[in-house]
Amino acid sequence: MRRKDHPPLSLHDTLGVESPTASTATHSLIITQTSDLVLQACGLGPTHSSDQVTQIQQGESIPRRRGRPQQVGWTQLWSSLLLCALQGMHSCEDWRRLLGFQPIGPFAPVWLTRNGLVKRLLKAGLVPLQELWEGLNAQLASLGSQAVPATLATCATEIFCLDETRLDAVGRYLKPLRGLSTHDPACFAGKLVGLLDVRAKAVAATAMA
Amino acid sequence: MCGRKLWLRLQWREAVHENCKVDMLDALRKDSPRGVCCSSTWVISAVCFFDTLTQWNVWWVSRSREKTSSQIAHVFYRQREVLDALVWLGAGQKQARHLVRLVRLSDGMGVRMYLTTVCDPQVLSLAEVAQLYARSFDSELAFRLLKD
Repeated sequence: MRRKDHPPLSLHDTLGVESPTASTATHSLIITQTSDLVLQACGLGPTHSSDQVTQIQQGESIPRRRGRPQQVGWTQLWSSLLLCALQGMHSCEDWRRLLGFQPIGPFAPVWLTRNGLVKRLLKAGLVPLQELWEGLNAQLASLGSQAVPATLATCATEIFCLDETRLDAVGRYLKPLRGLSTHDPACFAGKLVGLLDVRAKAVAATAMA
Repeated sequence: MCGRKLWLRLQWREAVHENCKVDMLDALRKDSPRGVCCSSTWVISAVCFFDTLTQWNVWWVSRSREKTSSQIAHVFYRQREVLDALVWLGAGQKQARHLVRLVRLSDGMGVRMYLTTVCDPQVLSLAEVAQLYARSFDSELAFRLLKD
């Protein structure tokens, strides 16, 4: 029974309550959907049709449990986190703003507390994120290289650039990080290693869809 | 819209403090025989790295460090600052098993030195070595795009 003062759920609301211990099928579906969303947001994937959007929204639906329903699904959570990282995430507050102001694929913006997001991350652990990156890697490999005619180093079949860069240190806004120095390993946000095809055509954009 | 880049590989690495570039080279070995890879920095300083790339049929271009020990084995061309020669990298037991090419040229602002595993000047000229190395900064621009 719905309360009168409670607004009706929109099409974008995530009804299902998921957990990281969901079935393997649901788990792999979430990873696939998240990969699709991230690639689509980067301009590398096809645009979802309305049927696919409905599938994404229903894909995570599993029987509800006791307690307050979660407002953000795992697909939206991981997609937003990865997109935020690719856009130069400085702190959890950046992630929170991204979730709160920008729609991620078919998901409407959801305004959550910073601690709520951090709790979800801690609850899930690193395994889903690792699987997500592996899934993305597999999809990127299948896209292939769209090479242009080479005018430089014609002897080479392909030309690559290999380099790495450190991400900016994590902002020390959360309580456990406030006492640490900027150079503390706990503030190390990670680094990116890039292998770029020099001859590749322009394909991807980092702008949000 | 931002400038566009095609990212070939996106991988997760837990040991972030270790050298992750070496892992990426394994992909080159499988996907791109006779491809050329350029880097603004050395992947690892060990001279055996160039030997490995030669065995993999992957060509490599990088800048030469100032204190790199090398011994000239053959000179293709030498004129003032310009040098195109085959060298043995390292010394003693740490000497490389394969020759690499040392290219030195002046760009008007300073003398630049590059190392490459493409040992034939007719396959890759001096100017092309410099141009390839310049293209290695494409990755810097791509990273900047992501970070900004």
